[in-house]
Amino acid sequence: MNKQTHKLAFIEEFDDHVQSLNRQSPDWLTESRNQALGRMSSLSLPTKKEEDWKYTNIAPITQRAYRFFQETKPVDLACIQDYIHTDDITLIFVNGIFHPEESSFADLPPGLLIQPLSEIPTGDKTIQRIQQAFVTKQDDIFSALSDTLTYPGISVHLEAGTRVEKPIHIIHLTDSNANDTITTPRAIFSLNTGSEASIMQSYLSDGKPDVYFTNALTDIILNENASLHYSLVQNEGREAFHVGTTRVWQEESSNFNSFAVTSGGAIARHNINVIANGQGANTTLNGLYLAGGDQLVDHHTSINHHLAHGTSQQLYKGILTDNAHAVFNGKIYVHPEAQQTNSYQLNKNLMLGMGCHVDTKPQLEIYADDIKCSHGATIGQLNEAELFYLQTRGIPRASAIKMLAKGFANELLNKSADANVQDKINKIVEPWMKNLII
Amino acid sequence: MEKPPDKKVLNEKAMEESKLASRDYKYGFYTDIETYTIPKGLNEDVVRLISQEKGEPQWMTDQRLKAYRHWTTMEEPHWCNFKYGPIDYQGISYYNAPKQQKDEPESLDEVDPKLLKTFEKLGVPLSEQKRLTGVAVDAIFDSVSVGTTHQKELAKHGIIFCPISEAVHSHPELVQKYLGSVVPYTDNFFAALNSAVFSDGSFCYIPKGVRCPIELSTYFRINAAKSGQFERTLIIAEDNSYVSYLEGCTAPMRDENQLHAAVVELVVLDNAEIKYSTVQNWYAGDKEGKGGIYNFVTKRGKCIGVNSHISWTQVEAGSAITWKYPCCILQGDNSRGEFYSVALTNNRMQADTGTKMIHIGKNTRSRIVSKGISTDEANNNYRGLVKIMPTADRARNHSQCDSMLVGNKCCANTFPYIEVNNNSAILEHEATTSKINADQIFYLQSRGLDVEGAIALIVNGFCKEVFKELPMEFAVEAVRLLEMKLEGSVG
Repeated sequence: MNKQTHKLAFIEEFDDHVQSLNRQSPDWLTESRNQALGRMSSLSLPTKKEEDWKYTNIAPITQRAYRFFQETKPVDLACIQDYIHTDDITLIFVNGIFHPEESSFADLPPGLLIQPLSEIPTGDKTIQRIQQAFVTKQDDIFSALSDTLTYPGISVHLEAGTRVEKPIHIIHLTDSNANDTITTPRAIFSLNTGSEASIMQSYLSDGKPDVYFTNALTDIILNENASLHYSLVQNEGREAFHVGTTRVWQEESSNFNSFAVTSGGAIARHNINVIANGQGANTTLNGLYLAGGDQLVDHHTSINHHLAHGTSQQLYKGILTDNAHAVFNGKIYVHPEAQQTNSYQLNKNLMLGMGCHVDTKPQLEIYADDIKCSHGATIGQLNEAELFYLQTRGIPRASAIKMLAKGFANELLNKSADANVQDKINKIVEPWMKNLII
Repeated sequence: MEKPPDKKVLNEKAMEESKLASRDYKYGFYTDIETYTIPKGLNEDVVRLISQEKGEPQWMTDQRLKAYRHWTTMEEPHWCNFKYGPIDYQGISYYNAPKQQKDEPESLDEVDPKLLKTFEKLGVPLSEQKRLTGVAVDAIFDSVSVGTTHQKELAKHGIIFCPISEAVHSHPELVQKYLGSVVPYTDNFFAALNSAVFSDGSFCYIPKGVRCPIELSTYFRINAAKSGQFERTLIIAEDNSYVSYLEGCTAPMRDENQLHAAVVELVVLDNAEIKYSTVQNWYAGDKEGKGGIYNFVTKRGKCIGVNSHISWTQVEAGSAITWKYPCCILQGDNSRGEFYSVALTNNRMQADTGTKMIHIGKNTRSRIVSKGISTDEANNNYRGLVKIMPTADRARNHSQCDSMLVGNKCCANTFPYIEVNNNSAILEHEATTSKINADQIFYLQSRGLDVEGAIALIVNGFCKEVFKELPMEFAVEAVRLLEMKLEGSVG
């Protein structure tokens, strides 16, 4: 294990921690950890020379040292109380540690099973399937690292035909006790044939300017006709680092609808990789990123259409102020079998700050002929004529800017039909808009 | 059911012509001519020998050697989205020249008639009576320029249009000042190779305030086997001048892959404009992808002056491999860059082409229109960069990249890079990829066109936006070329 040390020098007591995790874990988790360690030995930390990390320098992340959070102090959830809906199924993690007593997941409807990964016995079919589906196909060092440090993790499993009305909300809070820690939230969602659910993952902080590193990994499997409304809210502390990956496997006629809101983190990177491996799978990836100060927000999406009649839509919009830097890389890959694919992607950036940067790279790779694919990207400012119009109506310029910026974001916010999700997202977006100073 | 006979008559001429072309690449003949060839291989002595052959001054030899030494430290790039066998740089002869009866023919009449005939066959007559009106031609055969027409007429306007090897002697101050100023030898692997071994190419100088009255053009012909062509073109447009420059190229059909690594540099000063058009029709290899030219080209223009303007128009219809990214460096305030491209790939051709627009000056504008057509088992990629530097206030770019797929074994990819470092920039990028529309084909068939005719018509319409940027003679040529290439590719 020592050969890892130089790569992972930024994590203190890595080997000891892995061993202590092994002592508590079921066999399959230990084995998966060992495999991940093996994979990691052939992977290196990405540099800007690599195409996938061309615009994002991770040196600020890896130049620091992180420890593992181990204390068991009582937790204070006051800072996120507003954000928790009492009617939801809520699962709360604080500084990487699961707090069942603070969570509310009693009386689950039949067909829904929620449990920490560390409690799943060896030989579970879902776990085996996840491992087959993703591990070897898509791996980077951060996913492997997450696999190495998975504990306890969370699994949400829906039996065939189950329809869960209540939203499932998974909160990862990092508070000021966890300065300089690394957490690796790990989740697996598996939706069996014909099931449907709405799951939200929120990465939050108590707003104190702490440095910490969240390295998240979520795997999602959708069987035939399953439908998932997935929301991801990332509002980490402004000094924090967040690298997250969501991997999705879609079977025939399944429907994956995702909405990601990013506004936190000094460096925030989110990868969403979809493998549409069934006919007629439908994928929607939407995202809104709000960045100011010296923040770097990097989104990478990739959709692999393997079989025919698939559809996908993507709309990512960003508002940047100050010296913020946004990166967007969207890839649509249409394999030769995937005839009749219909795929669309758009990235729009609104630059309000004087020192903003945008690097966007929409990509189409098409190996089938009977398809319709398009992508677009725009970068621009608010329309002066529109601002002037509002000013002639007696609205101060500052308010007019906010109004138009909100309007820009609303196109996305209104896409989510779920009032519950909208409400939560607005709790992140509205304060940000309010504080918008140009 | 039998086909109606009248239809046959209608298309007969066109069919015959195109059939001939698709079976045998029309320009695939070889001219049997006595040549002077230096031995295969590349080392410092070869570089010195090339320089000596051309009777170059010491500074030029030194520059070549510097480039060669740098090249030996570089590695061949492999980031492009295609595969090809290794290139043996030692298996190529870097200098091939047809033997002249006299050392320096004083006029075109003294040039070997075989050579003149070759160019006539290619549709580029050089002799006084037959030459095209309104177009001055510099004809380049392997490593040397055979002749340049209209030179005297151009000289009246102060325009210099000659082979670059001649310019080294006659206008060393201009060559020394501008050669390598846009594409330095350190730029990339193929530019370094070219800087070391470049043979011939055209040199154009348009003085202040002159609007070049005729089109200038260069016709490149590879003839010798086991050789490569490494041409170098340099065009300088002084303040308030204008020039339209055309470039055409062909090569014989061979089973070996031949290397073509060119460098083109454009320098545009205040209020000047250069319009650069290319119809590239190198031999593309046969159906199995055997043979064909490896085309690795570095083309770059620098808009140094205010209000300067560069327009690149290209029709890429040949080469087994095309690796080409004509670039505009928009340095002067209010300068403008344009890029219009049609890339057609069939059989097993692979193209990775696009453009780079680097905005440095204020109020700089650029426009990109790229049309890719992929048929058979071809691989067609658009790769482009639009970069807005922090100094480029109010920069503007619009890019449009459309790909059309004909047949189900081809592929089309789009890799646009957009990097914006100034918040007053406005950019739009759009791209679409789709199959050729079946309804449109059906409609045209119902009007009496056959499938191939319908495809040709639709593709022609698809590319119209680019073709209209080409000078008239070239546009006609390009349309014909596309029709020939599409022959036999039924979607």
